[in-house]
Amino acid sequence: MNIRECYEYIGGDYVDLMNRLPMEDLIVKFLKKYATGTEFSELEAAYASKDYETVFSVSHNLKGMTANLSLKAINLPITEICEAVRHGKPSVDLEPFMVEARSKQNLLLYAVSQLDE
Amino acid sequence: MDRILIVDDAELNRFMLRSMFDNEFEVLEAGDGEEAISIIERLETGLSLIILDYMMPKKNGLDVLEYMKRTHLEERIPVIMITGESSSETVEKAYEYGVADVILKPFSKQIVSRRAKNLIEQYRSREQIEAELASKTKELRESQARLASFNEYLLEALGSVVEFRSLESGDHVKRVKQFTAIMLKIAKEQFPKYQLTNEQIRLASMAAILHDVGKLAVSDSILNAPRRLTVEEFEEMKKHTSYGCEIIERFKELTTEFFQYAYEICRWHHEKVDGRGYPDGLKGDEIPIYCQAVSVADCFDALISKRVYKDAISCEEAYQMIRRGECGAFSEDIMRCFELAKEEMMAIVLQVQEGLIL
Repeated sequence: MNIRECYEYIGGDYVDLMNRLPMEDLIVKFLKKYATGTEFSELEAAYASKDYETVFSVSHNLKGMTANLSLKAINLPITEICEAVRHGKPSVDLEPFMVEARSKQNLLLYAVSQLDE
Repeated sequence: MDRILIVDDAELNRFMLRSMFDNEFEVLEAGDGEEAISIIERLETGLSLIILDYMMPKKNGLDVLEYMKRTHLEERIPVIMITGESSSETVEKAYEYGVADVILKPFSKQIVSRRAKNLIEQYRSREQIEAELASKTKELRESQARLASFNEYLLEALGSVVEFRSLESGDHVKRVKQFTAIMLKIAKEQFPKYQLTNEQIRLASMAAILHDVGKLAVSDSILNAPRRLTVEEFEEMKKHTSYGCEIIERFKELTTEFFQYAYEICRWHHEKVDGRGYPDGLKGDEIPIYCQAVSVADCFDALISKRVYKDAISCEEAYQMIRRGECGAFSEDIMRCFELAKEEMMAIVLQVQEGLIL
């Protein structure tokens, strides 16, 4: 799978990405770095233990990273989670957004593992 | 090679930013505000730019900016804040804390890279201009100091002309200047009501040099009479105060403030607090404090100096005579200043006698 196919598969915006970061060889490295990062598991753990302060700080970081990499499909539920806990307790039920984010994250992990070297 | 510090708690963000600068800059990284502060503390102006995240654990971006503001490093090192918080409140706060620029996530390579280079260039040129300005200011100050010292030399020369005509040593005006300065410094401390400033004291004591310049217009036969003056002669002698003003009028190009001091000192350094002085018979507070200081300084130095018509007396004797009102009435304030200045004034006289100064 090449990088363009990967972005189509995971619901990313390849055109926007190339406009902002026109360095295809590095994008692969960035995606791999994202995939091996611990942020998503930290989010899962904080959500499970209802530590909303950590949910906010980790989702805030994930929001920035996914936006920088134009990973729109993951960025959308992550942004909802981040805004919902900005002032502490969730203002909406986080579960549907967590389910959506988890599913897109898994999709991404698979796609990244299939990327051409 | 210019050095850039990237401060972000997300490793991926640091990695992405590093990859934009790696070829042209030496890149340093910090994972939180605390680490950033310790690097900034160590390298200070060895950093050309800081790219700073807003939200971080331990110390955040604003804490880093606060540290830089406190240490004045924000004036020397440009900071670009990169944030996902696009609210105007966040952006305004960042600028308030001294960032040079704010870039919102998601960022673009061209924008980050262009703004970073522009800022480094801009701060560098500003620093060069400031250095040039500082050097020019230093040159200007030195040249002003030389000019001021030359002016003082000319003033003293002019003041001394009178004394040479009076067959005196030429040191009288210098001592009057010093005594005036000493008494006015005390007046500044003891009597805030006069609102004296250091600059006023400096100008008034310089102007004191010219207090007797009007004697240039008095004839030699009166000026150097080795006897008591007749009533008519004394009336003529008294006119040196207004002659002095006429001479000073010709120097109106001098700074207004200096001109005012010189004019008033020439005119009123023989006024007495009880109104029995000359030429205007001013009373009490009508006589400016600096004219009173010159008046006491002039009397004191005249008493301790030998003149064609009299011998010198001791400092202590001269002090007591003035205190007793034998040289006319002085205000309580200036007498208090004289009392407190006595020791320092006598030390000057002693140094002169020993040939240490003047």
